[in-house]
Amino acid sequence: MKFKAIKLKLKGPLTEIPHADTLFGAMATAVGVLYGKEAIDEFAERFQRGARISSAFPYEGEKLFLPKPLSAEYWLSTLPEEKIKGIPNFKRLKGAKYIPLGEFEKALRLEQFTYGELPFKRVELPKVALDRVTSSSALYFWEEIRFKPNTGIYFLYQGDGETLKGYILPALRYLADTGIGGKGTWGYGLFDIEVEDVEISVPGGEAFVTLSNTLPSEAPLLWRLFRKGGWSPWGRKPKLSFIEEGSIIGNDPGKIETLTVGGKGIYVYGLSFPLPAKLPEGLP
Amino acid sequence: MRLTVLSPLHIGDGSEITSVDIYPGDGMIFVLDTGKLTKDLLNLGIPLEEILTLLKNPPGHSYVFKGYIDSLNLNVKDYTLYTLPLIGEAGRESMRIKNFIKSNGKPYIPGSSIKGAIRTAVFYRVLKECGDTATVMDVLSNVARSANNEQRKNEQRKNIEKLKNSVGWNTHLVEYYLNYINSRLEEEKRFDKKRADDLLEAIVFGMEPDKDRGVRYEPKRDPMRALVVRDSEPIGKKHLAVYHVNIVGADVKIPTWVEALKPKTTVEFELAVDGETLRLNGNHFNGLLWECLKNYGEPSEVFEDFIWKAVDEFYGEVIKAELDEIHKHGPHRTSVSSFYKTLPEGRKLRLGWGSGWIATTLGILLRKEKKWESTRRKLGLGRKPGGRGVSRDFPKTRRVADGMPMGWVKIE
Repeated sequence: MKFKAIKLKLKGPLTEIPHADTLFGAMATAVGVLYGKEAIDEFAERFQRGARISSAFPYEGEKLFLPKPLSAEYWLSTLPEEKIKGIPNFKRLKGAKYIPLGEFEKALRLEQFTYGELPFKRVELPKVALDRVTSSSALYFWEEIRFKPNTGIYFLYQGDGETLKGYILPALRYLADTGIGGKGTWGYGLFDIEVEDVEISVPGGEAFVTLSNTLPSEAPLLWRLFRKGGWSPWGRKPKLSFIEEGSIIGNDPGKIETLTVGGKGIYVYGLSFPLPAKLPEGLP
Repeated sequence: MRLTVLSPLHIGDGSEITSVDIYPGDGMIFVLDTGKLTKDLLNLGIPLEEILTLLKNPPGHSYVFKGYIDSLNLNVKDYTLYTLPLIGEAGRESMRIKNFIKSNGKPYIPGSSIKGAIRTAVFYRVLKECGDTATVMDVLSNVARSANNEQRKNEQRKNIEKLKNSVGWNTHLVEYYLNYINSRLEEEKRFDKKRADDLLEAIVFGMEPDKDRGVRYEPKRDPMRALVVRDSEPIGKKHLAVYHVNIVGADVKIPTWVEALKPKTTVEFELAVDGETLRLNGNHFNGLLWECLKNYGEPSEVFEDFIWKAVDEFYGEVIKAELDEIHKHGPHRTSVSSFYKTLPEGRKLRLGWGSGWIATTLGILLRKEKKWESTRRKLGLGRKPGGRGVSRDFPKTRRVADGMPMGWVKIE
């Protein structure tokens, strides 16, 4: 399957690697700033009609990382003892969140795969808050994600060229200067953009692994849940239950949820980004 | 923007280099590679147990490795990670040096420090110009109105009304605030003095209804969100020196050393005002700052001008206050006075450790209130070490490095 990989070459740290709903929300706000509020509806409509974005994942040079499919994790847990002994660093492999693209293709087919060293690390930074009456200082620590040089994050896009050129890229050029994913006022999340073609070889099958955090419209097959809220320009968003990237779903497109916050309608992106995956034995 | 250091600037990361990590030389501090040194000492036949015993219980907190290097005639340069010039005296027996904040081993100035200094100035100007209780009551009424009629919020609305009425008994928000701190200190033994400004910050910058105090600070409703200040670029280590800081006015001599950026160091950093954030969130900001901006025109358009005027006004007042109390600099009063009198033109800020209470608080406004003296005693500001009463004169001490008051920078 062919996709566009949109690389965000980071200029500084990030607070978190953004999920698809964060990317969509940031781009929709940017579209509103660039073309007016009506354009946000048109932007969301294009996704309802078939355009898709994945969540962001790390990359290093040409090496792209993808989330480990839960089908492969389930498959690993069913392997017999003697096979496990033959797999080097089995525990680290089981705990890996992201794996390189080539290994991801093997994992989709439930073939033996391995992990790679990630190009980022979480660091703690000291910060000080001062009381404006007593001048008492309180030291606190802030966690951020720092990337190696020539690395960053990327997301996949599938859809028509018009949406990419007319909406996504202009929105990203705006976000490149204002930052994405929190603490923009500290200079976090600034980047340069690069677009590449990517091909992912996938097996045939009825089940799919989703590469975006998804709001499922039907029961998934293998999933991990997480609750996520956030903030819109009109107020705090209520928390919604998403399934994580790497979860296994049937033929479920997911959905874009419309919420009312502070009297204004907002879109929450929860569409799936499905890639066919082989199902391990023992699953329906 | 460009930041130029005018007087020694120390921004710490909370850690310290201790006597076991350094070798004090002549006008120089050698930071040691203790691993390599220990390995060589073992090869020279020094028992590991002896080294460990000395490290655990150094005799008189002395420089443990200096003893070995001197007695064995080793070349200190073979075991040096890096050196820093020492300005002032080294500790005779030992010294602890507060580390400058670094990223990948290189010092930098955190954007949060610069923004914090600007924020204090804005806090000051808003209270000074718009802190009359009539304006504050209007602001609180708007917050109460926006807490909609849901059953759950009725209680919160009542609390805001209660807060609004108690503000109304005073003439100025600062006056109300001192009464508020006094009553909280009397009512609650466990009042957190480190967070004494919480309610004031909420009213000035932006708030949400709260069941306890009426309102609480909400960062998303704070227009200062639109001020983007990024960390500076990394600074070369050659601009760093160890300063012996004199704490003037303290009853007990507290020997203090810090890693600080030397005067004339210049560094680039990014500062921007995000007009879109201000425009998009115009209806969402609800603090006294946003109300105050309306006096000058369209808030999103006058915001930048307002904060720069606040900076000029506040730090001008800080300089004036320091010169008024120049006698508190003791033997350094001549050099400090000439430092202030020869400050270059342009926009100045005071940052980091050693800036003092006046530059980091609303002290200039608080001190004008009658009730301040009793409040600060209750807050324990100016308490003498060892619990021997509270100083009559506050702030009593000043930190002086190389004859200069610490932390002044110029931005352009």
